[in-house]
Amino acid sequence: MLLRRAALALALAGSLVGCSGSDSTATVDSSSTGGSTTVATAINGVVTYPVDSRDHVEGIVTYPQSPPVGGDHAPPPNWRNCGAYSEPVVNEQAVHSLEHGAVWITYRQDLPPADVELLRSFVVNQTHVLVSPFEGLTSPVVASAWGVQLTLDSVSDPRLKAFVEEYQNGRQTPELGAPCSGGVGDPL
Amino acid sequence: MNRQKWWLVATGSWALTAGMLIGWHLLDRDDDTASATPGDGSAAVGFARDMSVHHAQAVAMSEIIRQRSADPAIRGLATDIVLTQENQIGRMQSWLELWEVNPTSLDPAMAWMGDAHDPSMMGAGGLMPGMATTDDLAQLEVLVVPDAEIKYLQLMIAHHYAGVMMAEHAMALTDVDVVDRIAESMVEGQYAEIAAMSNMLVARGIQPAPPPPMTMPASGDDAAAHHGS
Repeated sequence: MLLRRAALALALAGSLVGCSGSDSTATVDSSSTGGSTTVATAINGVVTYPVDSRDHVEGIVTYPQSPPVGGDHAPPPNWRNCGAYSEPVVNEQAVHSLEHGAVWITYRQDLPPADVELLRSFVVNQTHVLVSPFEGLTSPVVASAWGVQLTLDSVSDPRLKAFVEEYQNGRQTPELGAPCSGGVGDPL
Repeated sequence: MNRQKWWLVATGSWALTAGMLIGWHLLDRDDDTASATPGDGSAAVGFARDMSVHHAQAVAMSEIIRQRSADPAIRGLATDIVLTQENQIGRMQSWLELWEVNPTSLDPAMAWMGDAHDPSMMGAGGLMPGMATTDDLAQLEVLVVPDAEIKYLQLMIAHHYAGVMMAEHAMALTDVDVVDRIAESMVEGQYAEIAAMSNMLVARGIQPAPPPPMTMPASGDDAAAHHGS
């Protein structure tokens, strides 16, 4: 260990010339429209929304976005267990899962079976991915996490993978570490 | 400058150059040395991500049986697994945050093992080794309690064997102190629990399954032996 540190020190001393750290500063070149903000991050097209309230409430909640990206939601233990579902799931339960760090992949109900199958493969070996059809969805696929959303025309858009990898248990999660199991629902 | 000084300068230059070369060589060993921050594609990051997922299922299974069983030994074991593995998930997730990499990845599981990765050890549908299927989990919920306890013990023994295997590979492939320490504690803790759970199965008249055939690293804690192979 000592030898390695000494070697490292020597290497660093010898590398002062011609070695500068790459400073990658995130561009927050944002344009604001109606409360939502399109933030120029690594993933093009991700829209961020401020979420002001996350109370536990009974009954139906009217969300400003569809599918919702956050807000009041069903009380514990009524978060929707992560995994894939063949039928639409309850918004208020899915929002509780978002609070726990889930990425919710919703798709238009008339999507071809092969596309649905591909979307369902996103849950394999993942703890916080929820996949379900969504009634009345106008785009083929919409991926949502707490406060962020990405609308896609194709299931094979590479931005979907990037979105899941960044936002599943991502830093925007209000209750990081909370489970997406032990709630309600039996995924496929 | 006399002869002796020349010799000193020459030796000093040689030592400095050698030190730089050794240092750069160490730095260049992927990103799994103690001195560098592990990055995407490293064994340390892959292990932290995959083991977080693996642990989360152990926690989920233990929560189910803890709520259903009345046996203090089963409930105690389940509580132990839930709290220990939740803590370990939190630690692993914190590394990922500190290392400034994504918390999760959709790349194939176990890819961080490199050449040691044996696709035949993966479960149905590409599940990580030792992972229970959704059907297994559903059975834990619906079987009558004595049968659910047996199912839990069988699933968790298989889960632990795979967890031990992953941890041993992590110890062999990384030289990051925090990773080595947590992996070693997983190996020791989970082996002990496998023994305890096997005894609980025997007490229920069930013979525990033998360890699954999985590729183990040649020497559990020798980073040099496996690195770059």
